[in-house]
Amino acid sequence: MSTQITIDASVILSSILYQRPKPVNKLKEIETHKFRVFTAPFFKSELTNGIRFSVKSPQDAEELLEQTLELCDKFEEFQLSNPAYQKIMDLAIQNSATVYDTTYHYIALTTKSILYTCDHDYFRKSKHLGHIEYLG
Amino acid sequence: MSMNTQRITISMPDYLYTQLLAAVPAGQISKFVSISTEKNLLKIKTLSGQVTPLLKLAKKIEKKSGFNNYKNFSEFKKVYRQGLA
Repeated sequence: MSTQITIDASVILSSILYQRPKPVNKLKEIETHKFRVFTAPFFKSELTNGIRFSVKSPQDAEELLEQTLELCDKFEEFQLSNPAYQKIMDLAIQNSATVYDTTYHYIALTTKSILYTCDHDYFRKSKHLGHIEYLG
Repeated sequence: MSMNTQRITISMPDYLYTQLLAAVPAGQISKFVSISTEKNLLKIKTLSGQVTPLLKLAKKIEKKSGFNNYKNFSEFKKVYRQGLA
């Protein structure tokens, strides 16, 4: 099994907001097996937005965000060069996907890791590229 | 204070090596690799024990009305991505 993986924000948000078994188990696996976890530079912005749009009370949102970001401090935000963004744009256009989703996938392709996602729409569009697994 | 060191040979992907050479002066690569290794080891050591408390907290938090009406995660994602799009 690969010791390095890539995750997008949907894995964290699906775990904490929906408590879905597959992403929750993946997080526990990451905790136990000490994977090296890559993610995108805008990962924390996306998490913050997800919490903002789902949690009712601002105080609860603040507490949940704090703990979520602390957990995610342990993940590595993959730094992208200018040529990398060109490739991401090409891939996004080819797959009719967003640059944001494609950025996560590009990181997985570049690091030869698996991108774990809970976004079925993106998975369906881009599974032909490989290096992606859907955590339903 | 002097510290014992080990001379090692490492391999890394071409793209990473190119970025390393561009970003770090030639005489400071060992120091940079040491600091990066230390930082990553620290991350690995401290990840454990955080997932379960986070999930417990998340479980008791009340969601906004309408949150459970999304058909699936992809639908919710379209909404929260508004701030990024």
